[in-house]
Amino acid sequence: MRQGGHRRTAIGLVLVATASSGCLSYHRTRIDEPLPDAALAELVDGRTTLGQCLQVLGAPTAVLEYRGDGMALVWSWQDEDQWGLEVSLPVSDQANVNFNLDLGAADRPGAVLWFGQDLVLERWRRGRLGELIPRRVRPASPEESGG
Amino acid sequence: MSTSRLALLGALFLFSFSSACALGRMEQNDPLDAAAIGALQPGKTTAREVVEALGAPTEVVQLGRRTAYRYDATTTKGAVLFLVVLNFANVDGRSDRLWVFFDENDVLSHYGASFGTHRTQYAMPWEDVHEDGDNAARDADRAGVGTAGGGK
Repeated sequence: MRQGGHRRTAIGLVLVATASSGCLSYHRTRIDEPLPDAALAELVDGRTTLGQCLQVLGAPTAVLEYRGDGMALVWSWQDEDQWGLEVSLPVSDQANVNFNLDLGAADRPGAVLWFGQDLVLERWRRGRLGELIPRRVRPASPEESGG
Repeated sequence: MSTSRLALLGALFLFSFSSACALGRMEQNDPLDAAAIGALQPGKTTAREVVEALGAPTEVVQLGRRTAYRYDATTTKGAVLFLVVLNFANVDGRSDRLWVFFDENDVLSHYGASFGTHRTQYAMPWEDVHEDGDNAARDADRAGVGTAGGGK
């Protein structure tokens, strides 16, 4: 009797395992290409002009306003990979119980070049964009700002 | 059970454990016209002439008294290898991008262009999609590309 119970449990587990689908996945996303270190090494604060930068580095990802007539040029790229575990267990004909487990997440790397009003390079930095560019804040409406 | 039925069932059983792959491609906007971009002349070309040659920009940015227009196109290729319990997927996306900068009189002062849509590859995650040799071979098939830019 006890042996039969174990056998039924084992058969039940095998049936559930067969009916469910689970998989391990490795996913990599690459968006655009990193700026070459050699090109960035050519930049000289206070000397390199906007035209020279564009000629060497090409088009930036974004252009931001900086101190009135100045500008900040942003290059960014992405190379992220992550492992994931996905298990899907059918609990009825219309619904699945599933969950995802992602083991990777990272800020986008990039480089920012700041130009003053004379369009000569003030400085440049390479790193995580979140650390290079201040988070942009939505302008407050007159009611919110109390004005 | 007959032998042929057993063989069919065996084949179906093996097929259910076989691997598969999928490829996908997505494009946003037409690739930029390298020849038209090469004709831009800082100090001479006006904003109106740029728009006549390249169409409406994707984005316009006000930079104090200056303005900048962005043109872009993106190609993304995805490849997935299904090995039943272990799957591999890769996404490679690259862009053609052009920024044109105008002075307060709407005359082109600078521009910068990069061309990457033709370099996009179907690949597996462990493959290097940014190899210089690969890029050079793809650049050779598209006239006038690389990075370009300059100012007056």
